[in-house]
Amino acid sequence: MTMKDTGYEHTGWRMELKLLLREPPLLISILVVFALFGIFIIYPFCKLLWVPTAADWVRAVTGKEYIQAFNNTMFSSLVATATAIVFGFIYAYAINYTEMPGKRFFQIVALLPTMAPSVVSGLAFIMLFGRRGFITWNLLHLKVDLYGAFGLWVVQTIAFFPLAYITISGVLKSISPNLELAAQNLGAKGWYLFRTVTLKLATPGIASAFLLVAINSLADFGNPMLVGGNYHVLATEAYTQVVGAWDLPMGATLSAFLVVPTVLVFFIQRYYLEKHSYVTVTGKPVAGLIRVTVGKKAQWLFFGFCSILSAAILLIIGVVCLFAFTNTFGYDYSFTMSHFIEGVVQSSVMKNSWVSAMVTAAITTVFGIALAFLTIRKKFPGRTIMDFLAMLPVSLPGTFIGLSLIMAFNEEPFSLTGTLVIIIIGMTLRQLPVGYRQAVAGLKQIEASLEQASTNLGANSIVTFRRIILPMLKNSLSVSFVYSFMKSMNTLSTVIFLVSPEWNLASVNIMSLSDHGFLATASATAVGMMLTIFITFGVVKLILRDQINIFDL
Amino acid sequence: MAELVLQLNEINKYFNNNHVIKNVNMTFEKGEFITFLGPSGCGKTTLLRMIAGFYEPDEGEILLKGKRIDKVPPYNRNTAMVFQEYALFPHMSVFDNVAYGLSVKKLPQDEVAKKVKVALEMMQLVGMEQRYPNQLSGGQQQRVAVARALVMDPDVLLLDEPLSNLDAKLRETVRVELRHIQQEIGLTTIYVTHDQSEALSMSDKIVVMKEGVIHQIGSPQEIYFEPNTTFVADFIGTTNLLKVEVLGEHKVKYGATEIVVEQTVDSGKEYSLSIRPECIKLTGNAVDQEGEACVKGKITEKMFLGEKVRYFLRDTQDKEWVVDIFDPGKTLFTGEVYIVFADNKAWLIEHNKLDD
Repeated sequence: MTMKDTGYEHTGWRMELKLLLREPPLLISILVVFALFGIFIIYPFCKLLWVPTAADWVRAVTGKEYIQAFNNTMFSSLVATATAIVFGFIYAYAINYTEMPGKRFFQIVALLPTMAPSVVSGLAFIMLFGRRGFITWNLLHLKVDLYGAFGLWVVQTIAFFPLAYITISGVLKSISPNLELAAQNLGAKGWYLFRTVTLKLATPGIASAFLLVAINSLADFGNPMLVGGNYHVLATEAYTQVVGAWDLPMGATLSAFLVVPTVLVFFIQRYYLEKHSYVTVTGKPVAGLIRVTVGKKAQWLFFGFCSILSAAILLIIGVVCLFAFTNTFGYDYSFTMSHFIEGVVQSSVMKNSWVSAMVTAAITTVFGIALAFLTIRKKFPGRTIMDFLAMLPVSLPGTFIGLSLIMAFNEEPFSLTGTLVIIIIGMTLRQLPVGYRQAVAGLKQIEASLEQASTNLGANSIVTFRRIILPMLKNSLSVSFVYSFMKSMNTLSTVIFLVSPEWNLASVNIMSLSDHGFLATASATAVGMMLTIFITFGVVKLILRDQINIFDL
Repeated sequence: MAELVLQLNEINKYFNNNHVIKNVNMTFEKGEFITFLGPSGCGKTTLLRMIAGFYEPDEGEILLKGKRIDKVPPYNRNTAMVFQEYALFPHMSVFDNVAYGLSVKKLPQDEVAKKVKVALEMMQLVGMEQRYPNQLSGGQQQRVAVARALVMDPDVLLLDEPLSNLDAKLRETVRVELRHIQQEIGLTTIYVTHDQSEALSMSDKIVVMKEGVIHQIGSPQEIYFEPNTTFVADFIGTTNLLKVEVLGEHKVKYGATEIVVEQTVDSGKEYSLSIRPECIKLTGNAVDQEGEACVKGKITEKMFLGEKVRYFLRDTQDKEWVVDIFDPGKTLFTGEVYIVFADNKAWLIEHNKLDD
């Protein structure tokens, strides 16, 4: 029998390849995906690592200021991440485990900062506590300088608190209340219950959240730029080298150094923590069970904590709005639309941001689901590589992505520098993991038997995808669309190297306007951005007629 | 000779290094209702999925109407399947679910509508066309799943434990209906189950499997009364298996009791006797009669089940027996009794390599 030769290879790559060759449309899609990954991920990243010479590397590891920047980056992001995680946990616990009043309000407030670029918290800090800050100067008449490590710590904590809160809340929600009820039934209560059950179950998830926030704060560019003062971090140092000193190789070297910790964190998260997690964040919530595990006194403590944090967030948004719509807040309080007209209506940046974010959201959503379909449902050689490449950009600092793209695509045949296309490519790379992960979670909830039933009734993979998978994933697709739109609107570090005078973006404008002291126009742009995001959400919701509430994300 | 629909020749299947299907050979005739029966993990579902095309045999060939299909992708075989969890598309109405396969084939709309109507009528689903799966009861969902498969006019209908999610009463009703429809349209059907009463009551032919090996293929009566192996005897219904010694050409011995058997026995081989609980009588005194065997035992447990009393006994060789006494009246046996059965009710099974 000739069959016998391959008979024992069923799970091997040879068998997978054989099955693949039998379905050509599938084979073509896989090849296309790998080609795209090759051009837009592997090639630019290799290029970036290729540009610096050995001398550049030596210069980077021996240069005092660079070592200082590296240490600063590590220290400031570690401290900010730790604080944001602690705040995020307390906040999430209060919302998920107590019956304090105003939970809905706190939920919404915590998510407001995600509607604007994280640099807005830096902007607000300048306006409130800067050298001519409203609180420090106008109200208290102090001459203080809070720029530097301390200011950065405060700003980053506020900026990354929402991310910590959202992630940890997801972890807490996925812990089955039955477990805690069982523990209570066995006599555990209060602190003991929390320590032995809730915290133990949540720990791997919290660690994941920690790493996620750490990657973001390591790569943060705007806030260190605005409030860092003389406290340099790698992201800003790389930017100064490229834009200030035209030293592209040094910029590349420093960006590469920033990648080392983030990629390390990525590997820990992906290959260690996910395997040791008790809760799957994709799990369906158990409905109808309310868990109350804290007493009345503790509940009011939680309430107080959430109120203070919410007040801080509202203060940021409030001061931004006040600056945006008064002549010169602090000196001339008369209402004006002129900043808004200057920063939003007459400027093309908002339109550019909107267009590129919309295109990005569409691409990442569609491409993410196609990718997930391939890696989850199909078996083919290179599946794990595809999965890895799709998730990799989550760990890459925006400045690294941006810099590698301009290096890779500034000459023929891919001369894209200074175009809208390269901006969209950068945003897409950054957001791809979001769309991909969302689609993977959605797909995992669809029973494989549904697809088999479709195949059994005569539909091939492509028809099954279009008629069964896509309609069933509608909700999770619109979540990833909305989310990736919002993130693309707000991203700063990814696009800082990609914008050009011709194609500038709103988030970049907010940063440079604040940096040059045009605080009112910067504030107006930030307000315009939030409004744009809200209106877009509303329209998308009307079109898709879905049940999704952005505040339940 | 009826028309051959499906043939499995020398099928072997491995999952990694596990040999899960071992040298399976089978042929199915048109209009037959065949059941794959066996404990979980015996390979029955794997075999069914190979016919549907979700797995590919590592060795051997599958022929549908004389054509090899084991390399054909699942969507190009006409082997409609009813899934254990029904796998109804939750975003489609009953009508769209049933019409799905036809519309994939790009049949004209009016023809689709006509065929769907027939299938829905057959499964008594008229009036539910616009409902969605989550608005249907378990029984209705099951009917939709069957209608969706029937409408394809499959060469062979595959059913993967389709009744296991229904409650006992409904299961019985659907069983009768399913068998009725299958016979009416003469549909070749393969049914996978681990429930022996389902297998016995519905099938023309039962395939009993264990650990990837076929132990017996036969009619329900053959499987029940003339099991090939001790596994089949034990798995189908309840039985008493006695290891016996060979005495003569037609004579075996259990303890001190001699039993005459129809089959010729060979002194070099090992045998067991299978005696069904309902074939046994209990008596207070020893019986010494031609053609009847008698073993002394002690009652350890009894269960009153209405139409019968089930006794559990232990004989002098410390072997456990199960005996069913029908129409028992009010008097129950207790203590030491004699287990009596007719020689011709004892079925002789030769031990072979299939029995471990």
